Amino acid sequence: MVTIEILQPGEATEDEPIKKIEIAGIDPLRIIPVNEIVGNRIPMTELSNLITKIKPIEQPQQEELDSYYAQHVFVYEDGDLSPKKLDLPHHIGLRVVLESVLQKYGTFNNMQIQIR
Amino acid sequence: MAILSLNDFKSLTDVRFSKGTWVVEYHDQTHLWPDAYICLGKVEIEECTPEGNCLFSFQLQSSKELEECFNNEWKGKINNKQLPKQVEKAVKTILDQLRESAVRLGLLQPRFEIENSKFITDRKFAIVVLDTNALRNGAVHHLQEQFPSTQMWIIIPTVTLMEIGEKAATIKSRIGNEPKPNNSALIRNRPQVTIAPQEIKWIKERFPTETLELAPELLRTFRGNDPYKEPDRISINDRLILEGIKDLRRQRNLLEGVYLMSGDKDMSWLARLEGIQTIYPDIPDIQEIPDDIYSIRYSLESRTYVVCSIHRFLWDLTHVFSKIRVRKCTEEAQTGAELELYYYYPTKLVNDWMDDKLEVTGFGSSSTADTV
Repeated sequence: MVTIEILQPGEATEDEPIKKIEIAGIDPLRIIPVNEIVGNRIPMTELSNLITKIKPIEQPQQEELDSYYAQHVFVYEDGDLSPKKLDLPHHIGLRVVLESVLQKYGTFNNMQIQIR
Repeated sequence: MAILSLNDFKSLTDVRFSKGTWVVEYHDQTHLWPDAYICLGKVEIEECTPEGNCLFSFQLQSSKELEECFNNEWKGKINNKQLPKQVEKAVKTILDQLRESAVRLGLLQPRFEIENSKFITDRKFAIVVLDTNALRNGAVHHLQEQFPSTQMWIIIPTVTLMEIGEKAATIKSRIGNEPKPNNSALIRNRPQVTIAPQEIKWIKERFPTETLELAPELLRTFRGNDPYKEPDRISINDRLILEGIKDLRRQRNLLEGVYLMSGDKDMSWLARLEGIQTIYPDIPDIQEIPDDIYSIRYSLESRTYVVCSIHRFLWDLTHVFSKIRVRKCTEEAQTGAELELYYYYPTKLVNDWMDDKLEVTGFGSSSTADTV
């Protein structure tokens, strides 16, 4: 499980982020360089830079595929509303979430982000 | 060669896309001469999961590159004076349609401008009247994604269906004739003919749907004073939809909750002036589109991943551009595995139109079968 919290210092406390996204299956410790900042707050202005560096902790061998993919993640596929389960590489799963966060909150320079 | 539905195409075991770069090109007999293909962009397959799902990014061809392609194809075939204007028109059409396709496939998200959105969020109910623009943009998919717990009752006006019929006849009349560069504009109309009917089918399978019949006297009212002058067809259709919505609200005594969803900005503000609530899906401009469009995105509204398969991506492009060729770039040359999808194959029957079948060629031989 990965938790992404969007925080606005001064107005929201650590316990009350303005947005909290929880995604089952994705493990942030398997993603470089996210594994180094888990639990720390980073400014929103650094998010774009972080996204460009995201990659898997190691390229998978056949026997490591289970740990490379987040298993059975719910997705909407091809416009169908019934969610389907997909094995999604951890780093891609997190990268697209952070891209959505950047798109929505990227202009708010005073905000911070915390990945846990 | 095989005639396939999208599900058949997806389940074919001998068509496996593999990691790497694939070039996507189109051919359209209405404005390109035989064997001429225009490159639309490159698909970079980043990952293929063990079940064969491919995660990819699509890099659009730049307008400069498209200009060059069209100049090469049309030089000497049309008047040199007309060439730059025709090329400019074609490039704009192609980029607009690629952008629309990305929205339809869920890879880009429209921004919804909703009048009185509080009604939808509070009551979790909406009667949505669609025009052809909303149908071709797949706007209902996005609306459902943003308001997952809202019950929607969909209404399709008869004029919307009439418009589809008219556009289908126009496009059909140009097929088989000598190619003409100004026919590139037909690409703009094609999703109305090829995608809108499939969208209606999809909507009917998932939502309560009805057709909005229009009073015949309305048709006479808006023909103007001069009986010999043909009035502007689009403005008549828009007017008929607006009057139809007013009629519907009167008949059912509905003050709120009836929305017109139109992809036409002018129609949306005009409707608001007349007291009709509207939903306007604003599609991102071409300048806002990222260099690489990913096949997966995360929706912060519905808190889910939205994925488009490589099969569906190529399927949609074929509906817009009529023939799509996809080739794998190898280290030696750009002639690896190859696949072609065609919309207007000669033996297409009524059932094939209804079941949305395409002609798929190029798989099944050793040169094209590609394993993950």
